[in-house]
Amino acid sequence: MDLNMIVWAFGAAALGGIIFTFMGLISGTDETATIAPFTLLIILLGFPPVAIFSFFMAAVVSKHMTHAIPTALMGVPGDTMAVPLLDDSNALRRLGVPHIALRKMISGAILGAVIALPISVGFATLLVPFGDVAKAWAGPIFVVAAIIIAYTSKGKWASILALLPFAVFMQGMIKMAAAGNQKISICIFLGIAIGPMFADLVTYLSPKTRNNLLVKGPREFWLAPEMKGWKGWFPNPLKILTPRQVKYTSIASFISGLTFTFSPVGMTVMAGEAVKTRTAGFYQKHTGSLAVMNATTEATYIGETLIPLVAFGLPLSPMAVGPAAPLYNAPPVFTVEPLHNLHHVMSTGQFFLCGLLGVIVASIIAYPFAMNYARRASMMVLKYVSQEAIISMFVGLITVIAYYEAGAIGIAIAGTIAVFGGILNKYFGIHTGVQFMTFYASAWGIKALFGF
Amino acid sequence: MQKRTYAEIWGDVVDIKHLSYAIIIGLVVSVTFYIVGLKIIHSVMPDLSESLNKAYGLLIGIVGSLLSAVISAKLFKPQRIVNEGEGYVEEDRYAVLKDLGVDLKKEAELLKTADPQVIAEMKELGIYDLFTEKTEQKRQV
Repeated sequence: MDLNMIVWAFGAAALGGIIFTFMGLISGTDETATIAPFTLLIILLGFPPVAIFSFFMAAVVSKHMTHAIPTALMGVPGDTMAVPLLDDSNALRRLGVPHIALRKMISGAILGAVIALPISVGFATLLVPFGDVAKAWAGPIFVVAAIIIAYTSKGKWASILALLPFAVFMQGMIKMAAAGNQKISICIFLGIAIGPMFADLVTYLSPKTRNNLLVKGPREFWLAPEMKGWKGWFPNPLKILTPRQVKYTSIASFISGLTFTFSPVGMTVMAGEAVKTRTAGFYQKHTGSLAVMNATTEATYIGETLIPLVAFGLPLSPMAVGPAAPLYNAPPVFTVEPLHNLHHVMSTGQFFLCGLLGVIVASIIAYPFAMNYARRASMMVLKYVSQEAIISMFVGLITVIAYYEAGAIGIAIAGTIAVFGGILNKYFGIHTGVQFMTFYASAWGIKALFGF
Repeated sequence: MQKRTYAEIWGDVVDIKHLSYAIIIGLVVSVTFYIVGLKIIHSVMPDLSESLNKAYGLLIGIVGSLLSAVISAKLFKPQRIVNEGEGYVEEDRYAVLKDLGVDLKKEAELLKTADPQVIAEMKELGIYDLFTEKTEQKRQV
């Protein structure tokens, strides 16, 4: 890596870190729906590969750190991954000490990230010899992966039943667009990511289902009072955790850094339970499990991003078919057919260095921010950033990118996929991960079944 | 005052009327920025390759979507009520502990052998006394 590339990577990491330090504060923002479009954007704008990866890593790590703020201070999950942490953080919040929950969580996260990164890259290098086999069998592997991820989703058999229709649906649209000389894989992709929002809009518009979403009035939030229990700007995470918590957090991060096919939420719940059974005392149980659970999600994120990317170049993890999906599919830069993605343009060493850069930059931005400004920042977001504004921005973002790829029909296709994918997700538990994997499997699968 | 309709969309409460305006603003501003941006860039730099021209257009479109967020944020205030300071009702901590099913006798016993750092932390947070046997006895009297 020459100096020019290092500057690119550093700048991109700072950009990702700043944008997603802010995004993490907005409670309930889904990782896939927010990180994927922005990553796609910088790929399409022509950022060099090292910058793309540093941006992505910094985005993931910083969003994960600041999402602990709404979780701890208000008892609303920062994103879907924060749901398992709610019980413990609520217990501490109700005792009037939410800031200790926040401190334990983000100290766990930073430790988890630092441990998981070398573990994931190391493990991925061990798997590289299997990479060629995996590439040769990419099509069938996607089909099997789609079936597995479908069965492990909330939809179970409904997800499996929906695989073929959804694949036919997507390939049908791809072929329709091809008739008009348009490529639409970004549109499909954006449609899947934004689906949950469309499902809510459709649900609201129908008088039959409207009542599910109606609420009496504005939502109330209780923001805990300010408290600062340390001196300085960048408190040492190893001192905020007790030696015992450091030990458990390290073990959990080590193990989760190796896993790349398990469900991140499942891993988090398991790690939390494991700590609770080994710890006595109310305070120790809750603070310990918060640190370990947040480190586990962080480490799983990193493992799930790096292992399939470095070892196979195939999107074979929930992360790779979620927030990291643009790293595999962002035509014309990265394509599924022929297989060409970040894996093919970066070396293992670059993945490690850029990953490290992303983690460090995100920590420098998000960690002291969360430690020092948590309360003030949540207040600003609650008071001045309306949900209407957020939706306005994402609607604009998605529309422009869809239009950029395929013109007006691109917008129509993104909307179509969003309506149907969103409904499958909201009412039948066929989540966006299943839908992305079906998309990857559909090209080979439809050809194998029907010959074209 | 007209009647307002609130609904939970994408994880937070919105005023439906505001939301529909916000969506229209997002669509119109962003797409206009993109299309006009493409034209302007093309007339300023006619030699630019088509893909680069589109990439710059995209960048302008994104500026448009950020702008629509700013406009919507200015026009439509969040539908949230924030309680803090005096409005922040502190629950009775003992009631909370009871509610969470905490056995205070056992907790006090465990704290006798707890890590000094844990005890220091709890003291600093002002919750150490909650868990010690002395207060437990006091409450029972």
